Amino acid sequence: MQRQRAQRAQRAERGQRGQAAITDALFFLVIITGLSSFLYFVANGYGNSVAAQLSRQFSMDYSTAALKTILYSSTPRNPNQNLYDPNAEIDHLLAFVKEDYADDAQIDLITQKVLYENVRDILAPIADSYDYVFYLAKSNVSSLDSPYLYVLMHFSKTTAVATGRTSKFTPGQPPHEDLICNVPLQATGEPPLKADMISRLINTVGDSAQSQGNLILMEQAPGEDPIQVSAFAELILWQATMLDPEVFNYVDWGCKPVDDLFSSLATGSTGAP
Amino acid sequence: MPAGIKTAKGFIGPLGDDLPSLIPILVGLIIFFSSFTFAFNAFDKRNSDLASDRAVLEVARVLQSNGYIVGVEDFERLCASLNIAEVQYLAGITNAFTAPNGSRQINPFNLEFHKMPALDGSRQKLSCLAQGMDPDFELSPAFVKDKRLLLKVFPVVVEEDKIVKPMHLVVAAWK
Repeated sequence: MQRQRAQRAQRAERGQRGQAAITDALFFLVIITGLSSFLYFVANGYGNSVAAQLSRQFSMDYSTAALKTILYSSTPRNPNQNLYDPNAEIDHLLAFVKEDYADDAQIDLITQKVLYENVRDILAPIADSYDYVFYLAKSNVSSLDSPYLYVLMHFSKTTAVATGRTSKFTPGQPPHEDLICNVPLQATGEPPLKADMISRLINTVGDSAQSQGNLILMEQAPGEDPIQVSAFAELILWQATMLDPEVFNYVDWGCKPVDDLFSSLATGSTGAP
Repeated sequence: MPAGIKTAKGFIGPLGDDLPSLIPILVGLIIFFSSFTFAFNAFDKRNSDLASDRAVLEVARVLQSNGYIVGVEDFERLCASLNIAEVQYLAGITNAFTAPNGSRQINPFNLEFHKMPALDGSRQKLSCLAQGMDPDFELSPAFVKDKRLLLKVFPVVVEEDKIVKPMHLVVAAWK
């Protein structure tokens, strides 16, 4: 009788041990599954920050190389010729711009077109995926005046259509647009772009690559000696994104599409915009 | 072992009793080692890709130098100074975007590099191949079918007959 009771107790104890063993194994499986999921996510995200850093490095390198190329390039004295024309008289692009500016402290429309074509060609390989702004500006200008002498902007046109909780982006027609901005307002004759407006735009576009080169321009008031004016050329590029209409719009920035602006040159007008 | 235990219901021996718990343990070990192998391979591939990305930027940086190419000999000197083993590459200067009759596109399988006069009077292509490659090598879709092809373009200026022409440095690299 006593022996049977002992056997029953032993069987019950073995059953509990069996349950404990399988519970331990299931806990082990849960821990392994968690660990494997963690490894999977770590493996998928591994190197993303380095890849982003390399992408930023490419943008920086491109921006620096492009600005150097713009500032070093030659251009024909006659804008109707090209650099490969054996009869063309050649000058430095920067000298061409400085000479034009020294005349009347403005960059004439024909020079703006030459500058635009150079910048457009140099940035053409990345123009589909990057937006950019290139400008020439005077240093040390009061915050009330516009420091910008020439502003070229290339941006991707996008339309956002909100569908429920998500937005769908569709490329505009045409997908990209080139603008010359800071064109003086017809009402006041004043250029509208103030010093902080480009900075505000750059703060909204995410990562951007900026390169700057210093220039010396000449200004001469009637009857006075010419004076040197500090200026700079800057190129800022960023991966194409939708621009905030509160920060950038054609009217506030005084922007005109290049085709519209330069169409008058075909009829022979070369005056300032 | 007492005779009563051997005849107990459901008892199939000391190891057999733990058999149900061994199954989840084995499944867990298989999952762990599979995910460990997957993660190791993913790290390895990503490291290799990042090394290639860095190498192609390095090739471009050396060939650009200060962004001002003075002539064929200058470009050849820059090309000879390259010592990159991570990738194979084909690089050169093109005016596809800046010449008036340029194609305005870069096709890695039909790269047309700018030719200019060398000091010996001959016209030579501004191109650069990784060390040990056939000088007549051309990229083809069949060649890069099972390779990772990287293409980078940077602006440079090339001085030719005292005219400073804007052009582009193209680097096609593969591993």
